[in-house]
Amino acid sequence: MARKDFTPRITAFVCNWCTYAGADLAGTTRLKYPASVRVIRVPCSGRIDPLFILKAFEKGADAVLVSGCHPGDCHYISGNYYARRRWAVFAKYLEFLGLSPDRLFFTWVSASEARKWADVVEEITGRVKKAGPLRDFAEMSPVRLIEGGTRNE
Amino acid sequence: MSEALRQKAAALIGSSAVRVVVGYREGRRPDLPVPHFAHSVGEASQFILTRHCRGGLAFFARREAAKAPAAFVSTAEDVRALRILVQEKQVPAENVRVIAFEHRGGGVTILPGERLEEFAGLRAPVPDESTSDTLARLRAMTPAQRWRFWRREFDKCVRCYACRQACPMCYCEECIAEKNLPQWIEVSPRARGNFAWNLIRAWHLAGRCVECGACERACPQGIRLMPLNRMLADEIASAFGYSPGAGSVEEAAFFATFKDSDSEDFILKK
Repeated sequence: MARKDFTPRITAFVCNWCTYAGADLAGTTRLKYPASVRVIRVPCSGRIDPLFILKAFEKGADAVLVSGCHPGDCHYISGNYYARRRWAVFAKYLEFLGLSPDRLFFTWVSASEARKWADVVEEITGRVKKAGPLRDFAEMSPVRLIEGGTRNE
Repeated sequence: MSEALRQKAAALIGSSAVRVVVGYREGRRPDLPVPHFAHSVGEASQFILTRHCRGGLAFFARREAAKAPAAFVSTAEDVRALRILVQEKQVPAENVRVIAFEHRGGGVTILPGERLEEFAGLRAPVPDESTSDTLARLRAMTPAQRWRFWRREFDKCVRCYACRQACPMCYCEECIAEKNLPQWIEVSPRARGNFAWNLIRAWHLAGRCVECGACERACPQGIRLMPLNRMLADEIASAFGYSPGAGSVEEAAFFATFKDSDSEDFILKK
């Protein structure tokens, strides 16, 4: 696929109370940003298990974005603090396993930060575009998609 | 040393301080001692303690010490494992006694101390040469090279889960690898499932691995597991100043707590 035609598929795990509302606001205020991101709403950023991130990559995401409430703003008081500690280590871990840092992004976006959400999506879309499609997981797939979308060995 | 151990064990059982002492007895080969559970003073006479006792008995803590007091013949790594099990509320501290020993000059020495509280400040052992060499080599590589390295390593995996079974800290009654609704980790021993399994195994030990090396020794395929464990431990030590099993037994486990001042370097600047 030619680089310029490449639209990245970015899976975004966002918390219900801040980032999802922020992304929603971006929509209702008609902000323009790349349609590269698929949003998955979870109750809290503390709910995001690293397995979600792994699964997204396995299923063909070119990058994953994880976003929640700013520290101090968590609807459940402290969920994002637990999450922050987990991600700090997990980000380094994936880098050590050999995943490029341009594939996994973390950010805080509050319910009022529609502009920030649009900017974040814009920026990471640009970075992922430059990096190209993520082949690392596709190459290790034991099943291949055949025409018609059925899975076969 | 075996005699000193037998006396200690007999005293613990004789005084009813514990219900069982978990230690080693002779196996079919002299270099492979097997676990031994002494419930009576008589049974305590079968204990041995030799340079071949390599630890791992903390594995039995949840079974033996959850409801009644038990004593464990323990390496320093076992002691740390027991301390973490207490921090994770798997066994109550008052149920655990240890008979700690260390390998010294080709022999074995019993260490003073019996309660977990007395063993604060124990640190992970210095990694062996092959682990630290591999780590240094990996850190010098580009991400793409590291990815290839781990792909090659994990390709060897036959998914026997010996690494998990040997681990004193892998105690989930139903492992994520066996859950199939939804299925998080593909079960066939091929690249994708192997990658997911090996990634998650080490990840689930982040902040709790005692670096006893049991996983790597148990692996029939010789997969380099310790560099992964070590990398996570290094990261947690350098970024958070945390050393698993060293703090108070009342302290929360690493990922079960947080600090306002935790690092945020990885958050996208905008």
